[in-house]
Amino acid sequence: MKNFSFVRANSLDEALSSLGSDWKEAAVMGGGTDLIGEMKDYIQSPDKVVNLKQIDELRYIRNGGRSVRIGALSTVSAVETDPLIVENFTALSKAAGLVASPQLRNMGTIAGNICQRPRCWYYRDPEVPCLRKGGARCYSIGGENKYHAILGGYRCYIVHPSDTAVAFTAHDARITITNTKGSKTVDIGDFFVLPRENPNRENILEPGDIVTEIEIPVPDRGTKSTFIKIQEREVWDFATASVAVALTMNGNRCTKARVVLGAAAPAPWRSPDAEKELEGKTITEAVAKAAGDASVYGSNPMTDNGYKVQLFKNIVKRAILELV
Amino acid sequence: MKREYFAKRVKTVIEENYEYRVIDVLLPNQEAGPIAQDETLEVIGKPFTRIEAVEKVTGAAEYTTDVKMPGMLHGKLLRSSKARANLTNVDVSKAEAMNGVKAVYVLPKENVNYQGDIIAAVAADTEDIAEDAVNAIQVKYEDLKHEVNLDRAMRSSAAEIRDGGNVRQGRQSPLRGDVVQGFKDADKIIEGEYTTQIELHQPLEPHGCVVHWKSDEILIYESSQAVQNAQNSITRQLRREFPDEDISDTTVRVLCEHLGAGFGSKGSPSNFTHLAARLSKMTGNPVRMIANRYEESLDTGNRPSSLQKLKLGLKNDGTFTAIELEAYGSGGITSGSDRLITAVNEMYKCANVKTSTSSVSINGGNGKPTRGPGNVQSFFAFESLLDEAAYELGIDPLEMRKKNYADKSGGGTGRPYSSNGLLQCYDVGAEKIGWSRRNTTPGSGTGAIKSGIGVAALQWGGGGNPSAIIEVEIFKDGRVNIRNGSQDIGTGTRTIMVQVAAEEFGLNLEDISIQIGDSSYPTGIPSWGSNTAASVCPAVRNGAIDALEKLFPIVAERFNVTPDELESNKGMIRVKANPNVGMNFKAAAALMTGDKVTGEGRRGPNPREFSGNTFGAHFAEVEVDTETGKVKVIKVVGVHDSGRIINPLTARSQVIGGMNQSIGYGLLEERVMDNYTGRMTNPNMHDYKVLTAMDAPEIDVTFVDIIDTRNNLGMKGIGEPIRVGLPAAIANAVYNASGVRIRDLPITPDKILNALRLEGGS
Amino acid sequence: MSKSRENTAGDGNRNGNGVTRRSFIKGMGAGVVTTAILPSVVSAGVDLETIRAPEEGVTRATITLNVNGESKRVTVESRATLANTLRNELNMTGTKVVCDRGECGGCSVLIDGDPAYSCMTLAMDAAGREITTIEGLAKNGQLSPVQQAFVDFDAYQCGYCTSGQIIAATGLLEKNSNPSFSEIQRGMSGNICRCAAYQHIFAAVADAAKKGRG
Repeated sequence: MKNFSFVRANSLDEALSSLGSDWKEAAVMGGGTDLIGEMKDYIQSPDKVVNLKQIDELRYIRNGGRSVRIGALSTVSAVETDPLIVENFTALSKAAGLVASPQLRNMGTIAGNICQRPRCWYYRDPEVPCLRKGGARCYSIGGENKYHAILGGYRCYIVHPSDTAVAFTAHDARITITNTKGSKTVDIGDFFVLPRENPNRENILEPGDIVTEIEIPVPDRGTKSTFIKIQEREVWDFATASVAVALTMNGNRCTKARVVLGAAAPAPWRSPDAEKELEGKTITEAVAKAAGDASVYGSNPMTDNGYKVQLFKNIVKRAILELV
Repeated sequence: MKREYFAKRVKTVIEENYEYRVIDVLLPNQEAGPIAQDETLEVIGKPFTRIEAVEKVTGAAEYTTDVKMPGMLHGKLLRSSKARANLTNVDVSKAEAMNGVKAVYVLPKENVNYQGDIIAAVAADTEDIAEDAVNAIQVKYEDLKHEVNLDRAMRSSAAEIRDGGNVRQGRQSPLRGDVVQGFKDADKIIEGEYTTQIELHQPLEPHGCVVHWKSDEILIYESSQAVQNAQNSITRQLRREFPDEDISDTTVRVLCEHLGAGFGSKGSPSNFTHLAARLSKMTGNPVRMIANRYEESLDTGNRPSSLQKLKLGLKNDGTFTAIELEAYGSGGITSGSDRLITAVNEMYKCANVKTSTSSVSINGGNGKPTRGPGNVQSFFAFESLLDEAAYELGIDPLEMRKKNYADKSGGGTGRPYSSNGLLQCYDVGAEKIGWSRRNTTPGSGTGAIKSGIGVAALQWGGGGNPSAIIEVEIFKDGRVNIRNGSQDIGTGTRTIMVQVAAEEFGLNLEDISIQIGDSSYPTGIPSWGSNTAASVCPAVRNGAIDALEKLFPIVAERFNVTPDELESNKGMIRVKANPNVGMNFKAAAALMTGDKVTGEGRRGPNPREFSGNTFGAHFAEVEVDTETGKVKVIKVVGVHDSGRIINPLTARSQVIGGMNQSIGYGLLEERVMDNYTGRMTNPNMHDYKVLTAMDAPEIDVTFVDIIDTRNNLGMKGIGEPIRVGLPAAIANAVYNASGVRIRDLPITPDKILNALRLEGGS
Repeated sequence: MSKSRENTAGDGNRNGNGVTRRSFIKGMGAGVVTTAILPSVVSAGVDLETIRAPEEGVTRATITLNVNGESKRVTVESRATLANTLRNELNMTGTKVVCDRGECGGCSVLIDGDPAYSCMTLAMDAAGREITTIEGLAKNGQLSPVQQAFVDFDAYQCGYCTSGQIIAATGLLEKNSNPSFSEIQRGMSGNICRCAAYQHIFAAVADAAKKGRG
């Protein structure tokens, strides 16, 4: 790893004023579990690393009345086990509990988890000049693409690596971004970007921005959610497929549905087609299957990742049936 | 009375390269008699914890990576980023000019043949500076076409990456019988094509060394599972590289106190130890050079991949009439295929067998023996095929194995076995797994998650050999010390050696010290081939008895008898004719005139008329989630015939470890090479997936109680046979559960889902 | 014949006196040449604690690491990881660097009581926090319950992952003194054992929990 200038920011203001105007100038470090790996592999070599860990004002999980507010520096472990989360947001609690390993959940922050860079092995190879790193093309095309995207790819076929981002999307979370000019809050669906918009970044963050809070609205009465992660190992693996489903039920009838796929696309992939199959209906096995089938409409698998199509159909169905 | 040794040429199996090497060894003209199966033993066969346990649990155990010396520099290597290229320029000027850089050496080579091929070496004050310096070296490559996967390298359109062609016929086994006639005689012929992946050893302690080239000695700390082999091999290499230097047979000394595993990859020294030596010579300082995980993944060895085309002829009753195998394997650019014929050639009674094995070169780091080399791949293929045949003929797969059981080596045509508990292993294992619970119709379970049971047989060599020499010292104060040039790879070699001595001396383990892991000690045994225990332990026993006999003259004088009239048993030296007359060896030692007496122990030869082999049966119970393709191993049963078990606790650790590794190999592990870039996509410990705690199932470990006849303790090996059977047992269980047959390792969810889709016809 | 070392995996009936002081000391002093501490090649840098304008950052600084209850002053570059600092500067080599990417657990230490990977923690980031390494668990030559259980159940082979495993188990039991089997399995899931002694590790952790509860 290249040496760099280490900044121990003691407040959000200190952190913001330390950041630069391009990515090379400064990197923001929360838990560091992704950043340090990228730096060791020379995927990025920032001149400055701004450590946020001392900023206690960004570490909280609190009841905000109609929402729960999670400070950016809350650890993944804290999110997994916090009673507010466990009680209201099963999908998120489960997803957080399935992130990586106990140590990484203790170290990693929730904002860092949704902002982590792709695990695509071409992206992570410093010698491969892939599109996401500013190169000419995506090497997964015609390459080893078993883990790559079946949806939303365009010139680049990474999958978004975050488990919690999938759950947050199902929970209609909103992300607060702060820079020296102020703060803004965006729907999570507007936070992540697909390669069609920008093949170099996974979200709308600009240099100088820090994610400061994630807010999740308390769901309507009758809402239940779950998260299923399929990984080759039983633990400490990125998903080959995951799904978060949140259903709001009025008696037997589903009034609102969220179906979000993980490891399917370069961003958490909400499937309106699947949701349509559920909303207004009594959830039966047939309805769940129809939603599962619909969840992958438009998928376009490559040479080695076709299995994901059936896999998503099956786990979407399974997740839905788990809730009724 | 005096123990005499005579020189005898003995043929002993050296597992490396599978060569039979004839070596001169001194054999005892008499040795300890065998221990009877019913003899009461105090120490042998008891589950003692390790003698180095405290060091290991306190962090005090010193591994090669932990060695520090005054003035020590840090070495780093520049490795090729290309799979195959000519080197047109290597510019080290920037690196040399950096502060803290003490030496830079560019290897005299014109081309590179795999990603990770070493180009240059740097020594610097710190690891970080060394890394900065390596990054500052500028290399100009001229790309050449590469081949990085076996299937592509075999094609006629493949780039020729090796003179004379990528595919080379290996040494062929002789044809047995008449396969053409054998297949004519068959009622049924079953064929199958099986492939296995490249497995990485991934020892947690990476390959590495600390080398100090001094005026009178080249001292090398090396993470080595064969310190004397390393000493020998490094000596030869340095003599080649430095013809003007006076490097005697004892100039190089290799040390390895604790070893963070090797699994075969550390049988020969790291391929950069000679460069660390060179940097040490250039600077005059000790140089530490430790592979990082990227280097460990690329260039420290691997288990070669395989492609095995099998054909089996059977009678309707399941009797084999003919077997034919065409096998290919690829370990890298120069190392070839493993020997892929054992399951076909040795395991079952069959009169007509034909095999051919070829090596395929690819632009990848070279293979090295990997725990159970060859047999792991061979048994996966043949034990799967056998299972397919059993279902095809409607015969119980276990019965089919028994029916074709070979009571002699060479598939019933060779020497008898010194012991063979295979049939017992089948029966015990079937009982333990509940064999009758398996699905009679594969895939017949209801629901998305289906369970099934499978079995596979296994075999390995591992009987030990007589080359080790053990020195046993008795000191005047009654202390005992054992010294030998073997090493403890992590299996507990130290502990079992001390146990054997403790038995002979009637001592506690704490009362005996042991020195191993130093090439200057008496001839040791490499930790490979499952040979260590059965080689050193019988020799320890002889050495202990020899040392005790050195005290006989003292005792004889005391009791007015001749030394010939004495015997020793559990540390008591007694008059044979009158066992009430005698004294403890400690009392005798106190009377010695010098400081110590030294005994020497060697092991007797293996009787030529027997074949020494280890056997076992592995059973697996799995659940296949037909909606996700995930295979979950619920329980495995391993029943092994490995001769006398000296320490059932540490032996059990070996078995659970090996069986867990086999699950990882069966379900997860695979080196993935990208055809276009020629680079490994997963040179790390996340994308190369080894088994985690969450994947570890219930394991039932049983040793069948058979004492072998080939050495004075009745021991055989255990480390490798345990890696052999399980992958096929899992594949067979997956078939029994789901009705889909996966012939390609590892059995990952994508393969299951794809197979189920084909099966379902949708 | 001493039975003190004797034991059967899966059988909790044994005493903990299998450890001799002699072997402990022998272990601690292993290798004369290796105990010499190398002088740090980095010159003393600014003190991280006293920097007035933190926005500018430091590329090298003197920091205070609180390791096993002792304050250690050490000068490091920004890029130095806690793992390498412990091993190279403080000569505490019980903590192992295996994958160097947070993918194996060999470098696990407790940071403020929680198991964490020291290879993915910058030394400067760890300054001022409470760090416990494998060297800090045995007190006065007496093994901790987890260490003793690892001995008794042979919860390792080569021993290279053992420091990390024991740290992870210690952290787990501090939070949950009565873990179920699946909680043990999950709690230990951030540590790879390539020799794959997992089942013995589970048994050891369960035993240490039982003994710890008295």
